[in-house]
Amino acid sequence: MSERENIFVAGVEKPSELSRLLVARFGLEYMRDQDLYASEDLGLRRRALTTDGFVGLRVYPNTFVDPDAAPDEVQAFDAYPVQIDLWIPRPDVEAQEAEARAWFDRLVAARPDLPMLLIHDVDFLHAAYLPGKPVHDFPPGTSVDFPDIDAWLPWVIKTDAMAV
Amino acid sequence: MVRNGPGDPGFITEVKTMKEPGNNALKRAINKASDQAGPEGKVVIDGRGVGTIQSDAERAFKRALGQPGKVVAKHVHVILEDGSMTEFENEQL
Repeated sequence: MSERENIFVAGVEKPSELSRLLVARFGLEYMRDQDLYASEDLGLRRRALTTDGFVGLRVYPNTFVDPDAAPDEVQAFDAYPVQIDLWIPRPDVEAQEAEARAWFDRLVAARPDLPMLLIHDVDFLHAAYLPGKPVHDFPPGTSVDFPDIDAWLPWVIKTDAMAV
Repeated sequence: MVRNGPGDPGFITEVKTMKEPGNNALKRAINKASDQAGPEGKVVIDGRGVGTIQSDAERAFKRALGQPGKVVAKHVHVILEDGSMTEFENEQL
């Protein structure tokens, strides 16, 4: 299975800020052969929260933002500078999604000052959190793209392009 | 790994089936598959189920090439809604 779950985070500029939190608060360990002092693309792992075996997390800059996107090419996660990809080794999408939701909820509880989005494979919104509001769950199949902007715009950090 | 014959060292090939229509989704599929196949790999995007046409593929490939922080695989193939396949080569590599 090459699909991954994603947690997009705003309010932090560097992935390493988030990876340090994950290590300190949740017992994740860095994967080997990484330059922990210079890299902003970091791999982490530990025993999964909701299933057998391990969970892997990659914490890195959001590299899916198109700076030249047309107004109808905005994406819900465009204003979130840091991305976490999460996966489990088994080809089980439901188990992987449940694991990602557990991590999303823990991150929201640990850092309620940070806006976050929970997304499946950079395509479909599952949940959004804005500080001061409860977590919002989206109906299945809600796209991160413009056709579903009315569904997600009230629940995301906005870019200038979205404000037009 | 896909090989065209006994003498072919082969390509790491990542195949993705699109689940939603739109140029953004196709661009992301090219970028995601390229991350997994690597620069020398091959990417195949199946856009039959979401109505992908030639102009969608051309624009998405161009946008994927210009995506900051991403490297598009050397060979990208997109299966269009009529079942035909259009091919692109990343000449930046």
